[in-house]
Amino acid sequence: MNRLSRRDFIKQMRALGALSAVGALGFPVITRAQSSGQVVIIGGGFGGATCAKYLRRSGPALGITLIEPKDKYVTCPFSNTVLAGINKMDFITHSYSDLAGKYQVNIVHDTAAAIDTAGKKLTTKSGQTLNYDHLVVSPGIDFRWDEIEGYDEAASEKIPHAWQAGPQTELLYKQIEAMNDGGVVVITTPPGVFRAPSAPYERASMVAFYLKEHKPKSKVLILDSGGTFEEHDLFMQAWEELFPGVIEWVKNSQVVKADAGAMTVSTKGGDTHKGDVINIIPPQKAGAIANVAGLTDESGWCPVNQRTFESTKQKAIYIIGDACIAGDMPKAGSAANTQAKACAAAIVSSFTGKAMPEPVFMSIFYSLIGDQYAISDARLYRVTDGQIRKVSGGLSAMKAPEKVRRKEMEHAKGWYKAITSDAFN
Amino acid sequence: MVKPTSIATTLVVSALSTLWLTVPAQAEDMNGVKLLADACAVCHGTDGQGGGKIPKLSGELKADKFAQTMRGFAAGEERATVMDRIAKGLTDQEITDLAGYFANLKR
Repeated sequence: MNRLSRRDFIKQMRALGALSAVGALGFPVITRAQSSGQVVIIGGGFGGATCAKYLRRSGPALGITLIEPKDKYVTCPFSNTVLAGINKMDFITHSYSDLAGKYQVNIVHDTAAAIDTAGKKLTTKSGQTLNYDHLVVSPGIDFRWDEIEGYDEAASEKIPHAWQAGPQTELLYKQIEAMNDGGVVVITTPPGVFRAPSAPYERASMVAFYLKEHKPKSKVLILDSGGTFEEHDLFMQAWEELFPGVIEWVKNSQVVKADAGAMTVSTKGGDTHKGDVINIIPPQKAGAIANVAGLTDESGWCPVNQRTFESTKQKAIYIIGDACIAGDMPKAGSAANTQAKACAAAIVSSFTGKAMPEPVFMSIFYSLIGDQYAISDARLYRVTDGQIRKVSGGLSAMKAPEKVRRKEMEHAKGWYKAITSDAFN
Repeated sequence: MVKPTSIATTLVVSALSTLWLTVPAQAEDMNGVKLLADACAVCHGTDGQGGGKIPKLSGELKADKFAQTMRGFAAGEERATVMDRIAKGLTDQEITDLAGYFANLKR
Protein backbone atom coordinates (compact mmCIF):
# COMPACT_ATOMS: atom_id res chain seq x y z
CA MET A 1 0.00 0.00 0.00
CA ASN A 2 1.18 3.46 -0.87
CA ARG A 3 1.53 5.32 2.41
CA LEU A 4 1.50 9.07 2.52
CA SER A 5 3.73 11.03 4.79
CA ARG A 6 2.16 13.75 6.91
CA ARG A 7 3.67 16.45 4.70
CA ASP A 8 2.33 14.82 1.52
CA PHE A 9 -1.06 14.49 3.12
CA ILE A 10 -1.12 18.16 4.06
CA LYS A 11 -0.01 19.04 0.52
CA GLN A 12 -2.86 17.02 -0.97
CA MET A 13 -5.37 18.53 1.40
CA ARG A 14 -4.15 21.99 0.57
CA ALA A 15 -4.60 21.22 -3.12
CA LEU A 16 -8.16 20.22 -2.35
CA GLY A 17 -8.69 23.42 -0.41
CA ALA A 18 -9.46 21.41 2.64
CA LEU A 19 -6.80 22.58 5.03
CA SER A 20 -8.60 25.75 6.09
CA ALA A 21 -11.50 23.65 7.28
CA VAL A 22 -9.18 21.88 9.69
CA GLY A 23 -8.54 25.19 11.38
CA ALA A 24 -6.74 25.58 14.65
CA LEU A 25 -6.38 21.87 15.16
CA GLY A 26 -3.79 21.72 12.43
CA PHE A 27 -3.42 18.23 11.10
CA PRO A 28 -6.58 16.21 11.57
CA VAL A 29 -6.42 13.46 14.09
CA ILE A 30 -7.81 10.28 12.69
CA THR A 31 -9.53 8.64 15.57
CA ARG A 32 -10.81 5.53 13.87
CA ALA A 33 -8.09 2.94 14.10
CA GLN A 34 -7.74 1.08 10.86
CA SER A 35 -6.75 -2.52 10.42
CA SER A 36 -3.27 -1.40 9.42
CA GLY A 37 -2.76 0.41 12.72
CA GLN A 38 -2.97 -2.37 15.28
CA VAL A 39 -0.01 -2.84 17.60
CA VAL A 40 -0.06 -5.64 20.16
CA ILE A 41 2.50 -5.68 22.98
CA ILE A 42 3.30 -8.78 25.01
CA GLY A 43 4.53 -7.99 28.52
CA GLY A 44 3.85 -4.99 30.76
CA GLY A 45 7.24 -4.42 32.35
CA PHE A 46 9.59 -1.49 31.71
CA GLY A 47 9.90 -2.40 28.02
CA GLY A 48 6.27 -3.10 27.17
CA ALA A 49 4.64 -0.40 29.31
CA THR A 50 7.04 2.32 28.11
CA CYS A 51 6.55 1.22 24.49
CA ALA A 52 2.75 1.43 24.84
CA LYS A 53 2.90 4.93 26.29
CA TYR A 54 5.37 6.28 23.72
CA LEU A 55 3.46 4.69 20.83
CA ARG A 56 0.39 6.55 22.00
CA ARG A 57 2.32 9.83 22.35
CA SER A 58 3.45 9.61 18.71
CA GLY A 59 0.54 7.73 17.20
CA PRO A 60 -2.78 9.02 18.52
CA ALA A 61 -4.84 6.87 16.15
CA LEU A 62 -3.08 3.56 16.67
CA GLY A 63 -4.90 0.65 18.23
CA ILE A 64 -2.63 -0.45 21.10
CA THR A 65 -3.18 -3.62 23.13
CA LEU A 66 -0.98 -4.71 26.02
CA ILE A 67 -1.10 -8.33 27.18
CA GLU A 68 0.08 -8.88 30.74
CA PRO A 69 -0.99 -11.66 33.09
CA LYS A 70 -0.49 -9.70 36.33
CA ASP A 71 -3.04 -7.14 37.56
CA LYS A 72 -0.23 -4.97 38.88
CA TYR A 73 3.44 -4.81 38.09
CA VAL A 74 6.09 -5.30 40.76
CA THR A 75 9.48 -3.89 39.77
CA CYS A 76 12.80 -5.65 40.22
CA PRO A 77 14.54 -2.27 40.70
CA PHE A 78 14.26 -1.34 44.39
CA SER A 79 12.95 -4.83 45.28
CA ASN A 80 16.14 -5.30 47.29
CA THR A 81 15.09 -2.37 49.49
CA VAL A 82 12.14 -4.54 50.56
CA LEU A 83 14.64 -7.20 51.71
CA ALA A 84 16.47 -4.46 53.64
CA GLY A 85 13.27 -3.52 55.43
CA ILE A 86 13.52 0.00 53.96
CA ASN A 87 10.42 -0.20 51.74
CA LYS A 88 7.24 -2.31 51.69
CA MET A 89 5.90 -4.17 48.65
CA ASP A 90 3.45 -1.39 47.76
CA PHE A 91 6.39 0.94 47.07
CA ILE A 92 7.51 -1.28 44.16
CA THR A 93 3.99 -2.10 42.90
CA HIS A 94 2.52 -0.17 39.96
CA SER A 95 -0.94 -0.07 38.42
CA TYR A 96 -1.89 -0.13 34.73
CA SER A 97 -4.76 2.31 35.26
CA ASP A 98 -3.00 5.32 33.68
CA LEU A 99 -1.98 3.31 30.62
CA ALA A 100 -5.61 2.21 30.23
CA GLY A 101 -7.19 5.61 30.99
CA LYS A 102 -4.81 8.41 30.16
CA TYR A 103 -3.16 6.62 27.22
CA GLN A 104 -6.09 4.55 25.94
CA VAL A 105 -4.15 1.29 25.90
CA ASN A 106 -6.32 -1.81 25.81
CA ILE A 107 -4.99 -3.86 28.73
CA VAL A 108 -5.66 -7.60 28.44
CA HIS A 109 -4.81 -9.56 31.58
CA ASP A 110 -3.91 -12.84 29.96
CA THR A 111 -0.84 -14.78 28.82
CA ALA A 112 0.30 -14.95 25.20
CA ALA A 113 0.39 -18.65 24.31
CA ALA A 114 1.15 -18.83 20.58
CA ILE A 115 1.96 -16.53 17.66
CA ASP A 116 0.84 -17.23 14.10
CA THR A 117 3.50 -15.23 12.26
CA ALA A 118 2.04 -15.86 8.78
CA GLY A 119 -1.49 -14.89 9.81
CA LYS A 120 -0.23 -12.04 12.03
CA LYS A 121 -2.27 -13.05 15.03
CA LEU A 122 -1.68 -14.40 18.47
CA THR A 123 -3.63 -16.65 20.78
CA THR A 124 -3.79 -16.27 24.53
CA LYS A 125 -3.95 -18.92 27.22
CA SER A 126 -7.66 -18.25 27.73
CA GLY A 127 -8.29 -18.73 24.00
CA GLN A 128 -8.60 -15.13 22.77
CA THR A 129 -7.25 -14.31 19.31
CA LEU A 130 -5.71 -10.91 18.62
CA ASN A 131 -4.74 -9.63 15.17
CA TYR A 132 -1.76 -7.34 14.80
CA ASP A 133 0.13 -5.37 12.19
CA HIS A 134 3.13 -5.01 14.46
CA LEU A 135 3.82 -7.18 17.47
CA VAL A 136 6.14 -6.07 20.27
CA VAL A 137 7.46 -8.90 22.44
CA SER A 138 8.77 -7.77 25.83
CA PRO A 139 8.46 -10.88 28.00
CA GLY A 140 11.51 -10.39 30.20
CA ILE A 141 13.32 -13.48 31.39
CA ASP A 142 12.53 -17.09 32.03
CA PHE A 143 14.61 -19.54 34.07
CA ARG A 144 16.55 -22.56 32.80
CA TRP A 145 15.04 -24.89 35.38
CA ASP A 146 16.92 -27.94 34.10
CA GLU A 147 20.39 -26.60 34.84
CA ILE A 148 20.62 -26.96 38.63
CA GLU A 149 19.94 -30.47 39.87
CA GLY A 150 17.20 -30.44 42.50
CA TYR A 151 16.13 -26.89 41.76
CA ASP A 152 12.80 -26.44 40.00
CA GLU A 153 9.74 -24.25 40.35
CA ALA A 154 8.51 -26.29 43.33
CA ALA A 155 11.88 -26.00 45.07
CA SER A 156 11.76 -22.21 44.59
CA GLU A 157 8.97 -22.13 47.20
CA LYS A 158 11.59 -23.24 49.74
CA ILE A 159 14.66 -21.69 48.13
CA PRO A 160 13.40 -18.51 46.45
CA HIS A 161 14.98 -16.95 43.38
CA ALA A 162 13.25 -13.57 43.85
CA TRP A 163 14.59 -12.61 40.41
CA GLN A 164 11.11 -11.79 39.16
CA ALA A 165 9.78 -9.43 41.79
CA GLY A 166 6.47 -10.20 43.50
CA PRO A 167 5.51 -13.07 45.83
CA GLN A 168 9.08 -14.40 45.59
CA THR A 169 10.41 -11.10 46.99
CA GLU A 170 8.01 -11.32 49.92
CA LEU A 171 8.92 -14.96 50.52
CA LEU A 172 12.63 -14.20 50.68
CA TYR A 173 12.03 -11.26 53.02
CA LYS A 174 9.89 -13.41 55.36
CA GLN A 175 12.58 -16.11 55.47
CA ILE A 176 15.29 -13.59 56.37
CA GLU A 177 12.98 -12.01 58.96
CA ALA A 178 12.29 -15.42 60.53
CA MET A 179 15.94 -16.52 60.55
CA ASN A 180 17.72 -16.88 63.91
CA ASP A 181 20.47 -14.40 64.68
CA GLY A 182 23.76 -16.01 63.76
CA GLY A 183 22.34 -17.57 60.62
CA VAL A 184 23.84 -17.57 57.12
CA VAL A 185 22.05 -16.22 54.05
CA VAL A 186 23.50 -17.82 50.90
CA ILE A 187 23.11 -16.00 47.57
CA THR A 188 24.21 -17.77 44.37
CA THR A 189 24.81 -16.14 40.97
CA PRO A 190 24.21 -17.84 37.61
CA PRO A 191 26.67 -18.38 34.76
CA GLY A 192 26.07 -16.65 31.43
CA VAL A 193 24.08 -13.53 30.66
CA PHE A 194 21.43 -12.60 33.20
CA ARG A 195 19.08 -9.80 34.22
CA ALA A 196 20.61 -6.92 36.18
CA PRO A 197 24.27 -8.05 36.37
CA SER A 198 25.21 -6.06 39.50
CA ALA A 199 21.96 -6.74 41.37
CA PRO A 200 23.22 -9.89 43.19
CA TYR A 201 25.77 -7.68 44.95
CA GLU A 202 23.18 -5.01 45.66
CA ARG A 203 21.03 -7.78 47.14
CA ALA A 204 23.87 -8.99 49.35
CA SER A 205 24.33 -5.38 50.52
CA MET A 206 20.65 -4.82 51.28
CA VAL A 207 20.43 -8.12 53.18
CA ALA A 208 23.56 -7.17 55.14
CA PHE A 209 21.95 -3.81 55.92
CA TYR A 210 18.93 -5.60 57.37
CA LEU A 211 21.06 -8.09 59.32
CA LYS A 212 23.29 -5.38 60.80
CA GLU A 213 20.24 -3.75 62.31
CA HIS A 214 18.18 -6.82 63.31
CA LYS A 215 20.45 -9.88 63.48
CA PRO A 216 24.01 -8.61 63.92
CA LYS A 217 25.63 -12.04 64.38
CA SER A 218 24.42 -13.24 60.96
CA LYS A 219 26.38 -13.44 57.71
CA VAL A 220 25.89 -13.34 53.94
CA LEU A 221 27.74 -15.80 51.71
CA ILE A 222 27.85 -15.12 47.96
CA LEU A 223 28.67 -18.12 45.78
CA ASP A 224 29.63 -16.48 42.50
CA SER A 225 29.70 -18.34 39.19
CA GLY A 226 32.27 -15.94 37.85
CA GLY A 227 35.79 -14.87 38.75
CA THR A 228 34.99 -11.20 39.12
CA PHE A 229 32.29 -8.64 38.27
CA GLU A 230 32.13 -5.14 36.87
CA GLU A 231 31.77 -3.19 40.15
CA HIS A 232 33.90 -5.59 42.21
CA ASP A 233 36.26 -2.97 43.64
CA LEU A 234 33.48 -0.49 44.46
CA PHE A 235 31.46 -3.13 46.31
CA MET A 236 34.45 -4.51 48.23
CA GLN A 237 35.36 -1.00 49.35
CA ALA A 238 31.78 -0.23 50.41
CA TRP A 239 31.31 -3.55 52.24
CA GLU A 240 34.55 -2.99 54.17
CA GLU A 241 33.27 0.43 55.18
CA LEU A 242 29.63 -0.40 55.97
CA PHE A 243 29.52 -4.09 56.96
CA PRO A 244 33.04 -5.29 57.78
CA GLY A 245 33.20 -9.09 58.03
CA VAL A 246 29.51 -9.61 57.22
CA ILE A 247 29.61 -10.43 53.49
CA GLU A 248 31.84 -13.22 52.22
CA TRP A 249 32.29 -13.35 48.46
CA VAL A 250 33.53 -16.66 47.00
CA LYS A 251 34.44 -16.59 43.32
CA ASN A 252 34.36 -19.45 40.75
CA SER A 253 31.68 -21.25 42.73
CA GLN A 254 28.95 -22.07 40.25
CA VAL A 255 26.11 -23.93 41.97
CA VAL A 256 25.07 -27.10 40.11
CA LYS A 257 23.00 -28.88 42.76
CA ALA A 258 20.51 -27.87 45.43
CA ASP A 259 18.81 -29.80 48.23
CA ALA A 260 15.75 -27.94 49.49
CA GLY A 261 15.25 -30.51 52.29
CA ALA A 262 18.76 -30.34 53.71
CA MET A 263 19.06 -26.63 52.77
CA THR A 264 22.36 -27.11 50.99
CA VAL A 265 23.86 -26.16 47.64
CA SER A 266 26.81 -27.80 45.92
CA THR A 267 29.25 -26.19 43.51
CA LYS A 268 30.82 -27.47 40.32
CA GLY A 269 34.08 -27.81 42.26
CA GLY A 270 32.38 -30.20 44.71
CA ASP A 271 31.98 -27.96 47.77
CA THR A 272 28.70 -28.12 49.67
CA HIS A 273 27.42 -25.14 51.65
CA LYS A 274 24.58 -25.05 54.16
CA GLY A 275 22.39 -21.98 54.45
CA ASP A 276 19.70 -20.94 56.91
CA VAL A 277 18.21 -18.99 54.04
CA ILE A 278 19.22 -19.74 50.43
CA ASN A 279 18.57 -17.51 47.44
CA ILE A 280 19.43 -19.15 44.12
CA ILE A 281 19.52 -16.79 41.16
CA PRO A 282 19.00 -19.35 38.38
CA PRO A 283 20.49 -19.38 34.87
CA GLN A 284 18.28 -17.44 32.47
CA LYS A 285 16.92 -17.16 28.94
CA ALA A 286 14.33 -15.04 27.10
CA GLY A 287 10.72 -15.22 28.35
CA ALA A 288 8.84 -18.36 27.26
CA ILE A 289 6.76 -16.86 24.43
CA ALA A 290 9.94 -15.83 22.56
CA ASN A 291 10.97 -19.46 22.42
CA VAL A 292 7.52 -20.72 21.45
CA ALA A 293 7.41 -18.28 18.53
CA GLY A 294 10.87 -19.15 17.23
CA LEU A 295 12.36 -15.76 18.00
CA THR A 296 15.38 -17.02 19.94
CA ASP A 297 18.75 -18.26 18.67
CA GLU A 298 21.01 -20.92 20.18
CA SER A 299 21.93 -18.54 23.02
CA GLY A 300 18.32 -18.56 24.26
CA TRP A 301 17.94 -14.81 23.59
CA CYS A 302 16.44 -12.96 20.60
CA PRO A 303 18.57 -11.47 17.82
CA VAL A 304 17.15 -8.13 16.60
CA ASN A 305 17.88 -5.26 14.25
CA GLN A 306 19.83 -2.92 16.52
CA ARG A 307 17.97 0.23 15.44
CA THR A 308 14.36 -0.92 15.18
CA PHE A 309 14.40 -4.05 17.39
CA GLU A 310 12.61 -5.98 14.68
CA SER A 311 13.40 -9.67 14.93
CA THR A 312 15.99 -10.89 12.45
CA LYS A 313 13.95 -14.11 12.30
CA GLN A 314 10.38 -12.85 11.87
CA LYS A 315 9.05 -9.76 10.08
CA ALA A 316 6.77 -7.29 11.94
CA ILE A 317 7.76 -8.74 15.35
CA TYR A 318 9.95 -6.61 17.62
CA ILE A 319 11.69 -7.79 20.77
CA ILE A 320 12.75 -5.30 23.45
CA GLY A 321 14.09 -5.46 27.00
CA ASP A 322 15.82 -8.37 28.71
CA ALA A 323 14.73 -10.88 26.03
CA CYS A 324 16.62 -9.26 23.15
CA ILE A 325 20.31 -9.22 22.26
CA ALA A 326 21.23 -5.53 22.31
CA GLY A 327 24.97 -5.31 21.73
CA ASP A 328 26.82 -3.85 24.69
CA MET A 329 23.68 -3.03 26.68
CA PRO A 330 23.02 -4.85 29.95
CA LYS A 331 19.65 -6.41 30.74
CA ALA A 332 18.16 -3.65 32.87
CA GLY A 333 15.04 -1.51 33.21
CA SER A 334 16.69 1.64 31.84
CA ALA A 335 18.01 -0.27 28.82
CA ALA A 336 14.49 -1.59 28.15
CA ASN A 337 13.13 1.96 28.53
CA THR A 338 15.32 3.48 25.81
CA GLN A 339 14.93 0.42 23.56
CA ALA A 340 11.14 0.75 23.88
CA LYS A 341 11.28 4.34 22.64
CA ALA A 342 13.43 3.46 19.62
CA CYS A 343 11.08 0.57 18.83
CA ALA A 344 8.02 2.84 19.12
CA ALA A 345 9.71 5.34 16.78
CA ALA A 346 10.44 2.56 14.28
CA ILE A 347 6.82 1.38 14.31
CA VAL A 348 5.45 4.92 13.94
CA SER A 349 7.93 5.54 11.10
CA SER A 350 6.66 2.48 9.29
CA PHE A 351 3.17 4.04 9.32
CA THR A 352 4.24 7.54 8.26
CA GLY A 353 6.75 6.29 5.69
CA LYS A 354 9.39 8.64 7.07
CA ALA A 355 12.84 7.50 8.02
CA MET A 356 13.31 6.75 11.70
CA PRO A 357 15.75 9.05 13.52
CA GLU A 358 19.07 7.56 14.60
CA PRO A 359 18.54 6.18 18.10
CA VAL A 360 20.67 6.91 21.17
CA PHE A 361 20.39 4.45 24.06
CA MET A 362 21.23 4.68 27.73
CA SER A 363 21.58 2.36 30.67
CA ILE A 364 21.53 3.92 34.12
CA PHE A 365 21.97 1.34 36.81
CA TYR A 366 22.12 2.28 40.47
CA SER A 367 23.31 -0.19 43.09
CA LEU A 368 22.07 0.55 46.60
CA ILE A 369 24.57 -0.48 49.25
CA GLY A 370 23.39 1.27 52.43
CA ASP A 371 20.45 3.58 53.10
CA GLN A 372 22.80 6.54 52.50
CA TYR A 373 25.17 4.90 50.05
CA ALA A 374 24.74 4.15 46.36
CA ILE A 375 26.97 3.73 43.31
CA SER A 376 26.04 3.78 39.65
CA ASP A 377 26.89 2.54 36.20
CA ALA A 378 25.75 5.04 33.56
CA ARG A 379 26.38 4.55 29.85
CA LEU A 380 25.37 6.00 26.52
CA TYR A 381 25.24 3.86 23.36
CA ARG A 382 24.88 4.29 19.61
CA VAL A 383 24.65 1.89 16.69
CA THR A 384 28.06 1.41 15.08
CA ASP A 385 28.54 -1.07 12.23
CA GLY A 386 25.13 -2.55 12.93
CA GLN A 387 25.80 -3.17 16.64
CA ILE A 388 24.82 -1.19 19.74
CA ARG A 389 28.13 -0.02 21.17
CA LYS A 390 29.03 1.97 24.26
CA VAL A 391 30.09 5.52 23.44
CA SER A 392 30.65 6.94 26.91
CA GLY A 393 30.10 6.30 30.58
CA GLY A 394 31.00 3.75 33.20
CA LEU A 395 31.13 3.38 36.94
CA SER A 396 31.16 5.80 39.88
CA ALA A 397 34.65 6.84 40.95
CA MET A 398 36.49 4.64 43.46
CA LYS A 399 37.66 7.69 45.36
CA ALA A 400 34.69 9.78 46.34
CA PRO A 401 33.66 11.51 49.56
CA GLU A 402 30.74 10.20 51.61
CA LYS A 403 28.51 13.02 50.39
CA VAL A 404 28.83 11.80 46.78
CA ARG A 405 27.61 8.31 47.78
CA ARG A 406 24.77 10.01 49.68
CA LYS A 407 23.90 12.12 46.67
CA GLU A 408 23.91 9.05 44.42
CA MET A 409 21.40 7.49 46.83
CA GLU A 410 19.13 10.54 46.47
CA HIS A 411 19.52 10.32 42.71
CA ALA A 412 18.75 6.60 42.77
CA LYS A 413 15.43 7.41 44.44
CA GLY A 414 14.77 10.13 41.85
CA TRP A 415 15.66 7.71 39.06
CA TYR A 416 13.15 5.17 40.41
CA LYS A 417 10.43 7.80 40.50
CA ALA A 418 11.27 8.98 36.96
CA ILE A 419 11.58 5.58 35.27
CA THR A 420 8.45 4.10 36.85
CA SER A 421 6.34 7.15 36.05
CA ASP A 422 7.82 7.22 32.52
CA ALA A 423 6.47 3.69 32.08
CA PHE A 424 3.22 3.63 34.06
CA ASN A 425 1.90 7.20 34.52
CA MET B 1 -2.56 11.71 24.49
CA VAL B 2 -5.61 11.38 22.31
CA LYS B 3 -6.59 14.78 21.01
CA PRO B 4 -10.24 15.76 20.53
CA THR B 5 -11.50 15.68 16.97
CA SER B 6 -13.72 18.46 15.73
CA ILE B 7 -16.76 17.76 13.64
CA ALA B 8 -15.17 19.78 10.84
CA THR B 9 -12.15 17.49 10.85
CA THR B 10 -14.31 14.42 10.75
CA LEU B 11 -16.24 15.82 7.80
CA VAL B 12 -13.08 16.70 5.92
CA VAL B 13 -11.63 13.28 6.55
CA SER B 14 -14.86 11.54 5.54
CA ALA B 15 -15.04 13.57 2.35
CA LEU B 16 -11.56 12.46 1.46
CA SER B 17 -12.39 8.82 1.87
CA THR B 18 -9.96 7.64 -0.78
CA LEU B 19 -7.20 9.60 0.89
CA TRP B 20 -8.32 8.27 4.26
CA LEU B 21 -7.58 4.74 3.19
CA THR B 22 -4.03 5.62 2.29
CA VAL B 23 -3.15 7.11 5.68
CA PRO B 24 -3.14 4.37 8.27
CA ALA B 25 -2.56 6.53 11.31
CA GLN B 26 -1.82 10.13 11.96
CA ALA B 27 1.46 10.48 13.72
CA GLU B 28 3.46 13.46 14.86
CA ASP B 29 6.88 14.06 13.37
CA MET B 30 9.44 12.00 15.16
CA ASN B 31 12.71 13.82 14.89
CA GLY B 32 16.13 13.05 16.25
CA VAL B 33 16.14 15.54 19.10
CA LYS B 34 12.80 14.27 20.40
CA LEU B 35 13.95 10.65 20.40
CA LEU B 36 17.14 11.70 22.17
CA ALA B 37 15.25 13.87 24.68
CA ASP B 38 12.91 10.94 25.37
CA ALA B 39 15.94 8.88 26.42
CA CYS B 40 16.71 11.55 29.07
CA ALA B 41 13.32 10.70 30.65
CA VAL B 42 14.86 7.56 32.20
CA CYS B 43 16.19 9.82 34.97
CA HIS B 44 14.61 13.22 34.34
CA GLY B 45 11.03 12.00 33.89
CA THR B 46 8.65 12.18 30.92
CA ASP B 47 9.22 15.47 29.05
CA GLY B 48 11.94 16.33 31.59
CA GLN B 49 9.41 16.86 34.37
CA GLY B 50 11.94 15.68 36.93
CA GLY B 51 12.34 12.77 39.32
CA GLY B 52 12.78 13.51 43.02
CA LYS B 53 16.11 15.27 43.49
CA ILE B 54 17.18 14.77 39.88
CA PRO B 55 16.87 18.16 38.15
CA LYS B 56 13.80 19.01 36.14
CA LEU B 57 14.62 19.93 32.53
CA SER B 58 11.39 21.21 30.99
CA GLY B 59 11.43 25.00 30.74
CA GLU B 60 13.88 25.24 33.66
CA LEU B 61 16.91 26.79 31.99
CA LYS B 62 17.40 29.19 29.10
CA ALA B 63 18.90 27.33 26.15
CA ASP B 64 22.34 28.92 26.44
CA LYS B 65 22.59 28.14 30.17
CA PHE B 66 21.54 24.53 29.56
CA ALA B 67 24.12 24.14 26.77
CA GLN B 68 26.85 25.75 28.85
CA THR B 69 26.19 23.42 31.79
CA MET B 70 26.14 20.36 29.55
CA ARG B 71 29.38 21.36 27.83
CA GLY B 72 30.88 21.81 31.28
CA PHE B 73 29.83 18.24 32.18
CA ALA B 74 31.23 16.91 28.91
CA ALA B 75 34.56 18.65 29.49
CA GLY B 76 34.72 17.44 33.11
CA GLU B 77 34.69 21.01 34.40
CA GLU B 78 31.27 20.87 36.04
CA ARG B 79 30.81 18.49 38.95
CA ALA B 80 28.16 15.80 38.55
CA THR B 81 27.35 12.35 39.88
CA VAL B 82 26.21 10.77 36.60
CA MET B 83 25.66 13.50 34.02
CA ASP B 84 29.34 13.98 33.19
CA ARG B 85 29.58 10.31 32.13
CA ILE B 86 26.59 10.67 29.77
CA ALA B 87 27.36 14.20 28.45
CA LYS B 88 30.75 13.00 27.14
CA GLY B 89 28.87 10.82 24.65
CA LEU B 90 26.80 13.63 23.15
CA THR B 91 27.86 15.69 20.15
CA ASP B 92 28.01 19.47 20.37
CA GLN B 93 25.06 19.72 17.97
CA GLU B 94 23.01 17.35 20.14
CA ILE B 95 23.69 19.53 23.19
CA THR B 96 22.51 22.62 21.27
CA ASP B 97 19.39 20.78 20.06
CA LEU B 98 18.54 19.42 23.53
CA ALA B 99 19.02 22.89 25.05
CA GLY B 100 16.52 24.38 22.62
CA TYR B 101 14.12 21.48 22.98
CA PHE B 102 13.89 21.53 26.77
CA ALA B 103 13.91 25.35 27.01
CA ASN B 104 10.76 25.36 24.87
CA LEU B 105 8.85 22.77 26.91
CA LYS B 106 6.28 23.90 29.46
CA ARG B 107 7.55 24.00 33.04
